[in-house]
Amino acid sequence: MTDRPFIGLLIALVVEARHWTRIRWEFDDAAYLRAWQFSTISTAMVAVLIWLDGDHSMALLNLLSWLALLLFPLQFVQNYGMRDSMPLETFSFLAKRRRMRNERLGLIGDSVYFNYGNIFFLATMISAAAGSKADSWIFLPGLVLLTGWMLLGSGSSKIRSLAPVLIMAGGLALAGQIGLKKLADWIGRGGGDGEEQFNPNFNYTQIGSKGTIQQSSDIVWRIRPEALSPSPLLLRTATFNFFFGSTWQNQRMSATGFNELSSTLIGEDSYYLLREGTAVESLAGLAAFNLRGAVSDKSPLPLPGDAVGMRNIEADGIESNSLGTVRIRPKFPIIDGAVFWNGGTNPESAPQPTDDLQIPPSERDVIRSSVDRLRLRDEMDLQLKLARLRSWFHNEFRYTRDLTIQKPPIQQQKDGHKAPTALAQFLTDVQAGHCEYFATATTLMLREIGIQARYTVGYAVMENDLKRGGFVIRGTHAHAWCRLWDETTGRWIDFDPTPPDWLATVSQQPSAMQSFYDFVKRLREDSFIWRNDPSNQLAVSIIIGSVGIIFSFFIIRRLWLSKRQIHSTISSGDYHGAVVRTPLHTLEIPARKHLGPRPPGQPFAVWLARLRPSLPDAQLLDEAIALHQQLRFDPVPPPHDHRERLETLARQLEAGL
Amino acid sequence: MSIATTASRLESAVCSVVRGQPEVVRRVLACMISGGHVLLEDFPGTGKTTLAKALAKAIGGAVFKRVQFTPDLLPSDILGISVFDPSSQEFRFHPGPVFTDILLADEINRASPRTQSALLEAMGERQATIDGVQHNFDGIFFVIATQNPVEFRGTYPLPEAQMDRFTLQCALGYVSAAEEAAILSDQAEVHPVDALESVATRDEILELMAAARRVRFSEELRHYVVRLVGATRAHPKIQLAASPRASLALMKISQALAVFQGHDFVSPELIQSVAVDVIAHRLVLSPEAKYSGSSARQIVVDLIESTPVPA
Repeated sequence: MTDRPFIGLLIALVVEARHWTRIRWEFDDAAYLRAWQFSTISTAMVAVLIWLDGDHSMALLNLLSWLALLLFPLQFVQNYGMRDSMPLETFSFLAKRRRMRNERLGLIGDSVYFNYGNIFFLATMISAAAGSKADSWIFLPGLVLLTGWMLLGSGSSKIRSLAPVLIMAGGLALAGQIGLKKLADWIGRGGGDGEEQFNPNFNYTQIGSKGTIQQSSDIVWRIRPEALSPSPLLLRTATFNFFFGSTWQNQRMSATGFNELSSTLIGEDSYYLLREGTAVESLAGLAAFNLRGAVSDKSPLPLPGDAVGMRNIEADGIESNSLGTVRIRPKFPIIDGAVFWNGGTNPESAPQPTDDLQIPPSERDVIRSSVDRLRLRDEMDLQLKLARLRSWFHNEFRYTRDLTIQKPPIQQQKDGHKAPTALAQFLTDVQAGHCEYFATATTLMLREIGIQARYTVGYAVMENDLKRGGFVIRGTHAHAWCRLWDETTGRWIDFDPTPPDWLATVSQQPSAMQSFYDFVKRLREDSFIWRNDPSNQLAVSIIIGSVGIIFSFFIIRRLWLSKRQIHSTISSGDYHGAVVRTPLHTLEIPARKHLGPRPPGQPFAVWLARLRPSLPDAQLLDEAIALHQQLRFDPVPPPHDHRERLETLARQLEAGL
Repeated sequence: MSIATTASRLESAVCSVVRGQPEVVRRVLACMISGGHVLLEDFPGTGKTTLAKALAKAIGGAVFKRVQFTPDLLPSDILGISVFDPSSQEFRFHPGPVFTDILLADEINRASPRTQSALLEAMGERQATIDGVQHNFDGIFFVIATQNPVEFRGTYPLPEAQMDRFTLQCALGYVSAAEEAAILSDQAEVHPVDALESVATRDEILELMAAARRVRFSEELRHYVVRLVGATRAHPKIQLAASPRASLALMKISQALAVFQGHDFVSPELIQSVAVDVIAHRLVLSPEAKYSGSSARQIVVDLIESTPVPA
C-alpha cells in the first residue's frame, strides 16, 4: 500500500471510523461468506489482470501490495457487524458442509470463532512491505513508530513490555521486506535457473560441448510485414567480432559501448533512427514490419541487418553499439511498433581490419587448410566465393542438434599437444553440427581470405502465423550466421552457411500444450497493447470506472438501506431511551486486558467481579459495583455524592490494575 | 418490623427445614410474594412437599391445603360444590381446597387435564367461577404444584396453557452428602417441620407482596426483559415461544428477589439468575430439536448469553 497512500488512508479511515460512528449492520454468517467470496473473486481478478499486464517478476509482489484492499471486505463486515469474531467456516467449504450436515442430523458441533483483526493487520503489514516504496529509508522507522503508536493507543503503557513487540515489528518489517524482494526475484528468474540477462558483448556457444540443444518453443516475437513489404529472413539480436575458446566476445571499447539513439517526433509518431542523418521522410518508401513482444530492461531488439529505424516503440530509450546491436530500455513490459528496413544502409559502422580479420592462433591451421582445400582464394568474385563455401557446407556437412564434439581439455592445449580443437574436429572429421559451428567456421574462413566478417546471433523468420498472418518467432528459431563486409558496395551483408534442412528439424507441429501457451501469450500481449493504446485508454477507463461506480453504488445503497444505529456500547438492542453512564464504565477498557472482552450477555457487574483475585483490595470493587448498580439501574436518582465516591473508587481500582 | 427482616426471617425459617437448598427456597419465596405459582419438578423424596409444608408452617395464620391429584379427581373436588341442604331447602356452596393461602397440588400430572385445567382461572386471575358465581381470592393464594419427571405411566402431561400459569418451574435436586447427613440427624427424633414456629404473619406476607410491587424497575431493563423473552420467538428450535405473561412474570419475580436481597431496585443479574426457571418450561421445542438432544433450559441459557444486556 505504500505506493498508493490515498487508498491505504481511505481503508484505514473506514476501519477506524468504527470507533466514531454508531452505524452498524446485522451481518450474519452469510454476509461473512459473501465478503470472503468477494475477496477471493476480486483477488483472482486482480491476479489475472496483473498477470496479463506482463512483468511476471513483479506479479506476486504486485498482488501482495493489493492484499490490504482485497481482504478489506472481511474486515469491514467484522468491524461493522454486531459481533467481534467470525466463524472459521467462512473460509472452509468442507467445514461449512460439516456444520450443515451436523445441523441436519441434529449433532452438536461448536463453530470456532476468531477475531479477524490480527490477520488483517498482518495483511496490511505485508501489503506495506510489498509496495514499491517500501525500500525507502523511512519505511522501517515509520512502521516501528506506527506499531508503537498503535500499542500505546490500545493501552499498554509500560516501556518494558512495549520494546520487544516493537523490535519484533521492526524485524518483521525488515525481514518481510528483504524476504519479499528475494522471493520476487527468485520467482522473476523463473524459480532459480531461468535465462540470464542477455549480454551483448559476450556469447557462450555450444561449440565443443556434448549434449542436445534445448530451446524453449515459446513465442518470443511476432512480426507482421506491412502491405506489399517483403518479410525479412534473419533478425539480428547481437553481433560479435572476437572468437576465443568457445565464446564470441566484443572486447574493444569502440565495440562494447552503447550510444543512445535520438528520437524524433513527427506529428503523433515518434521515430528512432539507427543512423545519424537519415531523413525521416525517406522511411516512407521502405519495407516495414510490425514488431510485437515482451521485453525486459536492456533486451536486444531483433532487427534485420539493414534496419533503418523504428516508429512508435514506447521506450525510455533505445541504444545501439558500433556493431549494430540494438537494445531497449522499455517503458512497458510489452512493446509494439514498426521497423523500417531494406534501405541500403547498415546500422553498424565500417569494419576494423584489426578485429574483423583476426583468427585465433589455435584455429589458424585448420582454417587455412580448409580454405586451401576449397581453393577459396582462387575465386575472385565475392559472390562466387560465398557460393563455393555454401555449396561445400550444404553438400559435405550435415545439420544436427545432437552435439558429439568434445573440445580438448585445457591442459592439453597448454602443453602444445596438438589435439584438434572442436572447430577442427567439425571441419575435418565430424562434418556435422549446428548453426554456431557453421557460422563460426565461415566467419573465420572468410577472415582467412581477407574478407572482414563477424559472428551474428538472432532469429530466423520461418514460421507463418497461419491464423493471423505475419510470422511468429519462437525460442527454437534462434540462429547464428555471419555478417561480412562487401567492399564493392561498402555494406555489411548477411551470409547464412547453415544447410537449409535445419529449418525442418526445428519446425514441428506445435503440441496442444504449446498451442495453448501461444494463445495465452498472444492474448496477454494483445490485451496489453490494446489497453495501452491511447485511443483505447479512455474507453477502458470509462468501462472500468462505470462498472466500478455502478457496483460500488449498488453495494453502498444496499448497505445504507440495511444500516442500524447502535446507541451506546453499554446499552444495546432496541432501547433508545436515556442511558446512564457511570464512572465505573471507564474501567471497562483497562479491565479488558485482564478479563478479555465482555460477552454481550454478561452483565457488567458480573464481568467486573471476576477482577477480584487480581485486585489488592477486593472490598473497593464490591463497593464500586454496588454504587454502579444503583447509579445505573435505579430509576430514582441517588444523591450526588454517590457519583463522586464512585469516581474516586474507579480511579483507585484503575490504579490497582 | 422492616420488610427486609421479615423476608430474611422467613427465608431462614424455611431453610432450617429444607436443608442445602437456599437458592431454590429463595426463589420459591420470591415466587410467592410476586403473586405467582411454582411448579416443582423433581424425583420423589427430594423435599418438594416438605418445602411446601415448611412454608405454610412458617407463616402464622396462613391456610394451607393439600390436594393429592389422582386420576379420578374431578374439578369440583378442587373448586368446591353447591350441595342441596334439605334443612334450609336451598343449595349451599361448599368451597373446595382452592380457597386457601397456600395450596399444595401434589403430583399434579396424575389428574386428568380436565381437572388440571380447573386451576387455570384460579391461578391466572386469582378467582374462581363456580355455578356462575365469581369468588375472588384476596389472600396470598400461592399454588405449589409438584410432579416427578421419571414416571409417565398413568400421568397426563400438563397442558401448555396450564404450564404458562406457573411463574417458575424449578427443581430441588439432590443435596450434598454433608447436607443429607444433617437431614438424617434433624429428623432423628422429630420432623423439623413439626417443630417449626411461625415467623411471619399472613399480613406481613401481604405487606411483602406490596413491597415487591414497589421495587423500582428501570425502563432499560424492561426492554431487556422483553428482548430476552422475545428472543425465544425468533429461535429456530422453538415451536411455541414464551408469551408476554413470561415477560411479566420475569419482571415481577425479579422485583421479589430484589426484596430478598434488600434492594429497592432491580439489576440485570437478578433477571438473568431467574430467567431460565421462568422461561424454559413455557417453551415447546420443535421435534427436530427435541430429538437432537436440545433442552429448553439450555436454549434459554444460550439466549441469555447472546442477548446483549445493559452493562
